[in-house]
Amino acid sequence: MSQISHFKQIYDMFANLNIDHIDMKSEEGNYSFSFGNDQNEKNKTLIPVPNICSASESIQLEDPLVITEKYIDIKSPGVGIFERANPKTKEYYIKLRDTVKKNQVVGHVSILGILYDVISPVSGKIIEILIENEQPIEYGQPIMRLESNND
Amino acid sequence: MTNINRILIANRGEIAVRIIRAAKELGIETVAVYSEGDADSLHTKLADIDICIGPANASSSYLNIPAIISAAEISGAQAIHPGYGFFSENARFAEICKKHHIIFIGPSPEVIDLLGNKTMARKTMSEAGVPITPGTDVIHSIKEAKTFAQEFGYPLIIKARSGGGGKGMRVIWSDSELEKQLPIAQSEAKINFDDDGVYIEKFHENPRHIEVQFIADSHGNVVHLMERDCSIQRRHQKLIEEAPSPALNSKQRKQLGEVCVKGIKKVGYVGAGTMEFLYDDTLKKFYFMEVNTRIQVEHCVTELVTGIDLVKEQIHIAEGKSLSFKQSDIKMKGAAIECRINAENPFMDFLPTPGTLGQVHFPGGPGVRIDSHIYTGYTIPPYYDSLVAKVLAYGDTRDEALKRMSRILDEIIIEGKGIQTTIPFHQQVMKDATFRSGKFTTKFLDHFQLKQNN
Repeated sequence: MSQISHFKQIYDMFANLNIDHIDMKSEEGNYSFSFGNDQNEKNKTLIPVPNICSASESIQLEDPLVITEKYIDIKSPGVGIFERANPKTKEYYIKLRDTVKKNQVVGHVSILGILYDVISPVSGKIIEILIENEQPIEYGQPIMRLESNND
Repeated sequence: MTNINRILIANRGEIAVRIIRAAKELGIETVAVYSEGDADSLHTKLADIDICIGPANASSSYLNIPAIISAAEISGAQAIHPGYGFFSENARFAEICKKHHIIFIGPSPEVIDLLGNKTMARKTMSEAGVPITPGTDVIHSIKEAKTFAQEFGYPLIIKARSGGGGKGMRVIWSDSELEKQLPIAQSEAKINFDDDGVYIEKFHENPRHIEVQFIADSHGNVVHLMERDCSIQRRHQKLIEEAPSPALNSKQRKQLGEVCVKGIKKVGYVGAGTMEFLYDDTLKKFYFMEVNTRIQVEHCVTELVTGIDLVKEQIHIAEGKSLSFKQSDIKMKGAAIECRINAENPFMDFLPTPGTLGQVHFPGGPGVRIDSHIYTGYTIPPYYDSLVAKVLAYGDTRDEALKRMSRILDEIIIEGKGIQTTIPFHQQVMKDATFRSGKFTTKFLDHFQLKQNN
């Protein structure tokens, strides 16, 4: 956590300067920062998001295009009741901040008693769970929000 | 008796709006279901609850049985009104509703099945004394065919027993033609349907389309609400409907209604429906066509001349209540006419023109009813039928209703980039001498010339 808050400080320092991109090396690995609205840089943007999972903070990022690429909603495949738990183990498939792989089952929608899988469209980290267990949902309704790994 | 507190409407467009309005006036809550292509449709805004049930294509949304039943379950709807089209005449859907303890607002699955089968419906109605088009069983020899021709006269029509949708039909005008065409029709039927069975029916050359509205409760009461004339059609699609029919006198009207009630009582029908007939104006004879086991697009015409709210009555019947009126209470007063306004270009073979509406203005004044789901800024989606508004005019006489309709059509505005409507077509029909005379048949549009500059 302390390292992340360091990055946040560094990010804040450079964010207001006329700099597009910084690559950093440290003992733990490589980090990349992007700033501003440069179209060419957009796809490469890789900000280790300040303070991992608070969606409200994430949404404050200025560039909406970065948000749409980076934060992806897992949507309901149908009308029914959202089931977070594995029916056999009774345990929740996913907890907040879990990382998931592309096509991983994160829950079910019970449509007339039949369970349909809810699948993560990309790999990433679950940063928000929008629907409580066993709540009714409609087709296309966002169930969870994840932060994509960009892979 | 069940009190219905919440109804799910398994439909879209103007009919969904129509049903929501009836439910609201009865103090019943409504659940709208919609596809992703209909998120902005008026029915989603008027209903108490709205649920997205699938993507735009109807087979994944409005024709998706689990999605609709599931939506009813999660919203706590006790009944489903199917409207027209989609599941309205689907016995399987009605059956599934029953299994899930949801009231299907319509007749029982058994009745839908029986009347949906054309040959069974014909047979049942004939047994009940409803006049049907004379016809033969499967023809085995030319002699049999000629005997029938002698009795009923030409023209006749040869139909394939296993055919459908107008395929394999031939109209025959003489003995010599019959001799020549019968073997060809048989071998064609064999090739196309793997069944050489053909039969012959009397062909109605120039009929009117006249239908009787009826409604029946679960206590054995059946009442007819007299006729509608729907002869103005294009490729079997009704464009203009009116009541009363200009072709019938009050004696014929009464007879037709009584015949309809007799047939409907026989099958144990519960709900609203329509019995369709072809009417031969020269012979003054009716021939049964089919029963539509749903509320129809043109039901509002009957509502205007009888003062009965058919959709409210459907809901009462579904609750197990008795009809709120008797046959003797039903009087036809004045005249009503409906024009179906489609987003189609009448000058380009009625090509659909979806798009976003800039301006919409619906006129008012006495005797006007407009049922529609469109509004300024609404986008007409390309996925569904192109009906955008049903415009109705009511008058003391047919003449007043027609003049009123012309007035409405001149006032109405439905505009948007690339959007054309059938309003110019209706404007011209209202002024057409043949139409105004009331002496027309289903062949009317074969002779009607649409003028370009209107």
